[in-house]
Amino acid sequence: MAGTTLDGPFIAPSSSPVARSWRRYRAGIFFVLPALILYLLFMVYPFFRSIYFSLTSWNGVTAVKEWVGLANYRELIGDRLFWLSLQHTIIWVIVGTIAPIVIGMLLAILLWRRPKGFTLFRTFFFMPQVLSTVVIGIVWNWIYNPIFGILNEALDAVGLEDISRGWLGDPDVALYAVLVAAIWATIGFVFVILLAGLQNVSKDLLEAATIDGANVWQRFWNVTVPQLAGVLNVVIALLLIGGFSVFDVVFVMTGGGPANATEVLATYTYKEAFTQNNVGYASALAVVITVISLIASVTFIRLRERQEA
Amino acid sequence: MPRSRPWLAALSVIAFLISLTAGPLLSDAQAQEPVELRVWDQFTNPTESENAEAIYAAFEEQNPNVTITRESFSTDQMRDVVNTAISSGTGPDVIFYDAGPGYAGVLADADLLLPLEDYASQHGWTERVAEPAIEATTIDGTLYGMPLQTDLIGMYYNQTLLEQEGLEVPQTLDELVTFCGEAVEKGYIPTAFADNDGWPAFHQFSMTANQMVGPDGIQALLNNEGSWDTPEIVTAIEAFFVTLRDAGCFPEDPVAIPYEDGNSLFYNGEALLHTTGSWLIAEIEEQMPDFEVGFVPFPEIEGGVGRVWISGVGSAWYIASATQNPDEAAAFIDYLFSQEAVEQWIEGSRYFVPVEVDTANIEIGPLNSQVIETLQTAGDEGVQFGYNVDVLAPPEFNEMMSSGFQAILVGGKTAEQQAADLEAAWNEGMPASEATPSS
Repeated sequence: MAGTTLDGPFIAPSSSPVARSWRRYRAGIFFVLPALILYLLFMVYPFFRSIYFSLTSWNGVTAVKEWVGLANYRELIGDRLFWLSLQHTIIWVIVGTIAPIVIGMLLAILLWRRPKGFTLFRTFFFMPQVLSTVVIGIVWNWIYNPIFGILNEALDAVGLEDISRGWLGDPDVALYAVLVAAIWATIGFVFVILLAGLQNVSKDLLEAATIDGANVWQRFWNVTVPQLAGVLNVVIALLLIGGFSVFDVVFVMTGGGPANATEVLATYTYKEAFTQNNVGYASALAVVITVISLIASVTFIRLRERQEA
Repeated sequence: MPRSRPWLAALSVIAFLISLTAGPLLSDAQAQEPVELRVWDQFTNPTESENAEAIYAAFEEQNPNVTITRESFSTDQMRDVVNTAISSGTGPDVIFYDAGPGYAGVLADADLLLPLEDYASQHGWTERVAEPAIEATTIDGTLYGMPLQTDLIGMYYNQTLLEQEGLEVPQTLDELVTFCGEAVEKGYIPTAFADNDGWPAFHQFSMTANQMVGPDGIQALLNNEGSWDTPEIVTAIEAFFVTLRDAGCFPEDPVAIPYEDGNSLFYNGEALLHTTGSWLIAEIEEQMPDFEVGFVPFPEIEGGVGRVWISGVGSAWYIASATQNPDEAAAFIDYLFSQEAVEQWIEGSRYFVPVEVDTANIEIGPLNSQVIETLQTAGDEGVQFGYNVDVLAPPEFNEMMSSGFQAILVGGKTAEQQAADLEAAWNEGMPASEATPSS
């Protein structure tokens, strides 16, 4: 037993349990310590600091941070832009989670049997994932541009000029136009994870299901998906969390406009903190984003766990 | 009684004289100690950046003990980091930052910027720099910044194409509406207005609001006197955002087009007019060598005070109150406004420095000369100068201008609603932003 510890053979029989534990785990503690310090410094401390700021009316500059209690949270309840941003964020989370999973799954299944050109297609589908979000935003801005954008040109070329529009300037479609760019960028990640997950799906079970007369859909839904449950859980949880905190692609493509039509919680928070100098209020928004994101993710994971049980 | 000692008295006099001379000698010695000045600016355009480097280098050459450590930020980056950096004491000594209550005003309010009154009288800055520009960086009666850029906002027209098509430069709003119809018939986009970024609408509003309320009226509004929710402001909003939109004066979907792409429409001759600021002149001269371009104030709106040039201070030089080297920082700013540097700012960066300057020795194009000469007519009878509202308004008001005017352009809001919302946004922003223009 002593041989399993790092310095077991040298433990004096008379040592106290605390001292023994310390000697047993100290190497591990030293290995974890740098990461722990970083985590405490850049995650835990700012998180609690944000909670404190959210209870003040601080503008981000003054030395004095006036305590206002829950006033910022009360203000949120009556803030039209907050509810609008929340509504857009929820649309983003739903569409931005379902669409990449459906498309990513489809692509992964198409390449599951390693058809000809497998490596080429895998690289091609994964490509958007290696691009920075800023680059993706700029490129899609060009695609949507009403003056020289390729999308309107293509629609005009096939006689669909009635659909042509200023995609990012039309409040009715702008959010979905940005979502398309984000979904395109996310598919690669989902595809690769699901493709890796599919490698562990038992082909024997699928063959057995086929022999039992299950059709394609039944085989997929009742045999493949349950075996991908673990992978899907991770992907969905990551997409949910990413969806609630989405910022970069919206900021680059529309900045939340036109007329707040693409404003999401994170862009609204940014504007309040850095444009309007309302750091206290923005901190309240940030806390709310965290809480909503946590509730959604934990609820989802619990539901999945219950289903699996 | 002790005996008098004349040699002791003489020694005392000599010691006193030495002490008088030793002070300056000592401070000279201190002044020669190496000093590092951290300077943050917004000159990210390669030409402007190179020119700024050259001007800084010339200062360093004249002040060998001073080393400039320069960091350059885009306007948005600067706004993101400056508050935190300066309030934490890790920011620059000298900063080139946006004037106005939402930007430098917030820092001044928190005592993070150094009042420049003493340095201004020491170096004669207020005599050198035009008064309206000085007013824009004066907060609650105290001078905090030295304004480097003054801009004019008006309407560019492509004279070459207008002549070719037999069109006249519109002088009134009605003429502009007619012009738009004719231009569209001839296959042109009448004006290159593009508002995807939100802020180009600020300038259109400044042009029409100054006409409808008058520069004095706008000044009163900026000083928290009166209301933005008035029939005159509604007319000002309607004049540009409704009347011109309905007359087909803009490119299709202006809210979907970024400002830069709107500029390109004007550069390549697809659009005949462009209502924007004099900061575009360098680009126009470079991009439109085959076109003759003119620049006039926005056409006259009926019921207003007549045509008004909009002028405003973009950014200014400030000194952080935490600096360890305020004298060197002030000397640096003083150099930036020297005749030598001003000529270089104008020639190399195409800035309109609010300092009286003889353009005869400076190599600039006709549009540049026109703007400089126009700016120097400030105060002359018959030439009206109005206020660029956004640089003097609180952030809440600017945000409402940005989203509200976009909403009008896409048909989701009326001018009346926008006027009411602007008033509400002003009232929300002003108590927090006490730093109003001093004028």
